Amino acid sequence: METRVWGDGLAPLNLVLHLMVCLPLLGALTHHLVKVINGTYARGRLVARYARWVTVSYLICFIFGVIIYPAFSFHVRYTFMDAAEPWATGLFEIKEHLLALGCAILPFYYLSSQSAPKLDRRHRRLHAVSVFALSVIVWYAFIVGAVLMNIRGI
Amino acid sequence: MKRKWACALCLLLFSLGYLTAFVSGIPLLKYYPAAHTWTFGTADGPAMRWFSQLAYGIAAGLIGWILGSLLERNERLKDGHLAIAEYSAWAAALACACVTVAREWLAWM
Repeated sequence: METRVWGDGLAPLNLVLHLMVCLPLLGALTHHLVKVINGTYARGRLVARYARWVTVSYLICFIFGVIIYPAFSFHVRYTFMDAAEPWATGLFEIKEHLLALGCAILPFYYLSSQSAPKLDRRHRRLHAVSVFALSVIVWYAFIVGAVLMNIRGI
Repeated sequence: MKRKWACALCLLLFSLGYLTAFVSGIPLLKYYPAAHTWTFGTADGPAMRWFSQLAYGIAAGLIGWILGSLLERNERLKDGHLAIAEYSAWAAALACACVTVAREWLAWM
């Protein structure tokens, strides 16, 4: 008898929603990163808007990921990838750790973005670090997610 | 910027909590559903330690947020103290990322 894991039934739908929510996250975060690289993030209200989109979509995307995790971990990782493609398991585990860490960066990222024009020098620097760190995490997660789904979907 | 202390301590304690759970392997949730948690079930399954690491990280982060909110009102604390807390928080986050990535890399690659 096939083992059933919590969240099995809705896993494919959740995965599609996970991907769909990831798109505005990537868009807003990349725009924010470009503003930081250009040095124009302290002007205007766009950065505050990007940060709102990033924070909300990151959390929704993360919650979908948490829901999918047991089904993916059992049916794909445990039954197939661990033995056949261990490097893919490694990439997946790194993705989970970095995304969890991203949750802790979000409060600073959000609040510093809301008052970007008024930040002092140190906080501007840390704000740039938070945008860069979140961009690396989210782009890494997106690319690894695509690679994993290419190997075997849920 | 509002809540500077809360943000710094949240990041610091989340990183330390997550890292501690990752390194020590505290078995909060080994396998979901609950029948398999605490090894009650006999079914074979993967370790899902990530949930426990996340739970410890979030709990520690919330404690950090509350502590930070309390420190926000303390007028004896200067900007230098905040700078130390903020740099420590980012150093802890970096250390947490490096340790987890290195250990997964060595385990699976």
